[in-house]
Amino acid sequence: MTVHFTLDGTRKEAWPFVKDFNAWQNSEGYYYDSVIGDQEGGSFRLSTDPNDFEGSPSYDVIKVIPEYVIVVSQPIPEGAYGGKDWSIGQGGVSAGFHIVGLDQFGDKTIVTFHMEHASLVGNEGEDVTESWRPMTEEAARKWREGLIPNMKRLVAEARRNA
Amino acid sequence: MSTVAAPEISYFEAYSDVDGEEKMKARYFTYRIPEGLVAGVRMTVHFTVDGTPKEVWPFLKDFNAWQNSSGYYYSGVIGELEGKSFRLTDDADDLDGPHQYQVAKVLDEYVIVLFQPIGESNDVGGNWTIGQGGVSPGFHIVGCDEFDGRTYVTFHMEHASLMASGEAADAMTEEEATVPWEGLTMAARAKWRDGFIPTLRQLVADARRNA
Repeated sequence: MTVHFTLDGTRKEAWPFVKDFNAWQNSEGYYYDSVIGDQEGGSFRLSTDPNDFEGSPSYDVIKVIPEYVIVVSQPIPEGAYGGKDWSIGQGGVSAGFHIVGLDQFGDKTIVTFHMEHASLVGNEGEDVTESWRPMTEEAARKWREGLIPNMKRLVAEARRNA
Repeated sequence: MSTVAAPEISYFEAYSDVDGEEKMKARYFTYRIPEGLVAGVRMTVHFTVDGTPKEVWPFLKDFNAWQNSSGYYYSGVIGELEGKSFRLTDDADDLDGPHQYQVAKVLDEYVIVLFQPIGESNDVGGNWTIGQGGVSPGFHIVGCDEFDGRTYVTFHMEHASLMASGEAADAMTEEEATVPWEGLTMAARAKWRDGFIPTLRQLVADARRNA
């Protein structure tokens, strides 16, 4: 899943929100146990339940370059992909790899997300993409109607209050 | 548990070029660590290629295909080296030297992630010897995907080096620390604009015509 969007603000204004996925994803039901952009070398857990942060972390933060880059990798899970909320397939392979890039052109910041998720699914001849359709379609809606507008609003509010 | 505060980073814009969907940006940065004064450059390039990721990827993953004509030579096909290393040099006969880059991740037709471990020399890649080394010389991400039959390609690239240590670092201003980076940065601007991007587009266009 690839997402490109533009924020009306500098990278310095955008970064405090870009790096903190809770700030713009909680309203869409995604909860993180920490600020991802402060976790280089550490790991974090994503849950759809704000009271479910006790399980194993499922994401490793490979690299953070402030105001510029975040790289996140998901190790091979012990069970199915994604924990209790998105159990897809049998696991068995890295559950995902994700890169985030941002930079400022003029007074706007262009943000790019490239996100891959994977799991061992199905048998030969099956339509294995069906397993991923619900999560993919829901993600498309969340990004379009929630995540991107949320982040744009947060940056706009921060600029107004600066 | 104690935590170490992240160093405060200062930025100095080098250039910001926007030509339609082709965008190039570079800014120098500096920060101070106990070992001294670090400086480097972040360079971002966004551009489109007329073709699908399937058509673009065979060339995009092979930096030699579109960078040799601008004087950069690689010891392997980067998109086939996940978990391995490679050398970048400005001399086609100098490919046996130390490798400056590790390929952290390759997702075919989608993502490349490169990092540069701290080396024994101050070669940040391409025989650009800047500063004293001593920190990771770089980290780079590449993304591509198709929208409406065209492939959007994004490069985010960072290079860095320790520019001075001890009393010399105390005496060096942040602006002075960025000066040695101007040669690489301005050369890269010209290479991307006049060489790399046009060459990659030409290769994809030729392949599409001949398909």
